[in-house]
Amino acid sequence: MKSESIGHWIRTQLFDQVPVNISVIDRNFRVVEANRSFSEAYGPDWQGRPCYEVYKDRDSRCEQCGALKTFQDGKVRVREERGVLKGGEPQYYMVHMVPLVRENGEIPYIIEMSTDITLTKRLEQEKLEAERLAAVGQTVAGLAHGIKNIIMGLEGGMYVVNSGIKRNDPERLLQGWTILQEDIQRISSFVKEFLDFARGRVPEVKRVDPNQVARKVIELFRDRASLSGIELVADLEEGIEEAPLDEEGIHTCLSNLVSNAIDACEMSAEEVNRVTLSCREEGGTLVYEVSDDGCGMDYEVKQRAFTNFFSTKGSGKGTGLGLLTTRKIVQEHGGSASFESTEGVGSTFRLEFPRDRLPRLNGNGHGQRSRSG
Amino acid sequence: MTKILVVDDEPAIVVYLTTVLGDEGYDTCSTTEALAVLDLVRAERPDLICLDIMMPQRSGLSLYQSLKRDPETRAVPIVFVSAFSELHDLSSPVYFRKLIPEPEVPEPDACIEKPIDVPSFLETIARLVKSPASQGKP
Repeated sequence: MKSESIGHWIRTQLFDQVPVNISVIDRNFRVVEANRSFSEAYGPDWQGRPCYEVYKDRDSRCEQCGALKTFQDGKVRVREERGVLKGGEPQYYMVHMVPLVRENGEIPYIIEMSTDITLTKRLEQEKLEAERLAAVGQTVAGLAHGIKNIIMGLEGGMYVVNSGIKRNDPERLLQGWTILQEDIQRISSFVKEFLDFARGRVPEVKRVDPNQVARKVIELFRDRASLSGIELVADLEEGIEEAPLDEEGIHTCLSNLVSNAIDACEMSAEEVNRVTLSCREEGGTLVYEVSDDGCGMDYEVKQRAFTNFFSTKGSGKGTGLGLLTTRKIVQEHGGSASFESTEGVGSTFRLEFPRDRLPRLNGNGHGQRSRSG
Repeated sequence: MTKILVVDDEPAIVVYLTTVLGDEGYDTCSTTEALAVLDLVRAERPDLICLDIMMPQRSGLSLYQSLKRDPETRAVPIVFVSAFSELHDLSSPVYFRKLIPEPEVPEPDACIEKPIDVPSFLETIARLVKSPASQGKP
């Protein structure tokens, strides 16, 4: 086969057969050449008409005209655009703007190659909507669990009040009333947790034994891990000095990570799994690590691990706020959160708190973030 | 009189359950300290224990194993009362044995989810111990 004939075929058949709209526009932004796919999409009467009229049904040039910039700097541009088909329906496409450059550097024409991504965009929007709905469901499930505990307290308070009335026992009545008051306070705190996330909570910083927080978290999750056949291990370096931390905040972070690790193990194919929570000091930096040999994360999950309302835990589990909240609290301590994960092997989440960036205690025992770091 | 030990780290829950049981005519004792449970059981010799699961010092499940391994306390019926989401799984013998394979540790006598339904709760208790009503008490 002669190279000439290949060149001919490329110039004629490939130009018309590729599933991409190709047009050539001149410096007056008029379409001077186009392929068959372009004609089918925008109609056959494109010859000599302005590109913005053909592509977007506009009377004037687009505000952010990519073609104008390419005519000016000669650079190839790739951007997502929204157009209007001849039937009036919107079309989304990825457009490549390539300059045709003469030997003297002059750019008389630009080739615009547009790939239709309308279906992809539609799927993307549907996926986003589905994720939003799932996020609402997960949040509601999380709320329901908390409310269940609160209801037990309210029912208890009411029962004790009624019992006090029936027995004409003021002491018991007062006891029930106190339970009700405390539970109403709990409802406030519960709602506050969500609002704290939305608008940020002021950390209550005091001197804390870093290992002690880890121990509390281990104890909190021991049963849940055990019920799932998961070994929950504490690997705590001895002799770590106290540090100015928001204990509740750090507890929340470690709880989120351990809870996630257990979930990951539950989703693993292995019969026996292990989750390790470690705490150590590395050259002036306090380091917490939570490692598991669970299901690990694939590329997509890794990309979205720290994003709002992203959860892989299915209905009834996970608000998708856990890692986001964790990162936020860690950053409030001047620290950083990172992770490594391999699908099917496991994950390690690491929280690092350089001591010189930790909040400082003032005379009242309240903490302030160090300005030095 | 039938004595019931209530163990829960939440004081309000302890007050609630002891009031419900007291109103029914049961004698009660209680603690919010998981670490105090083993000593309390030996000292008070309850006829039944209502045991929470998620407690900060020591888990209810760990206490359950200790109590059931000890010949002195193993006969005492234990009812888990918890908001623990996997609570119902404990009632499954297969799941329970996967968790605690030791045959000398029997399956729990009952698992009750929070918030409790008072009549069902009392019914479960009465099924496991002599109810005050059957003893001619209020």
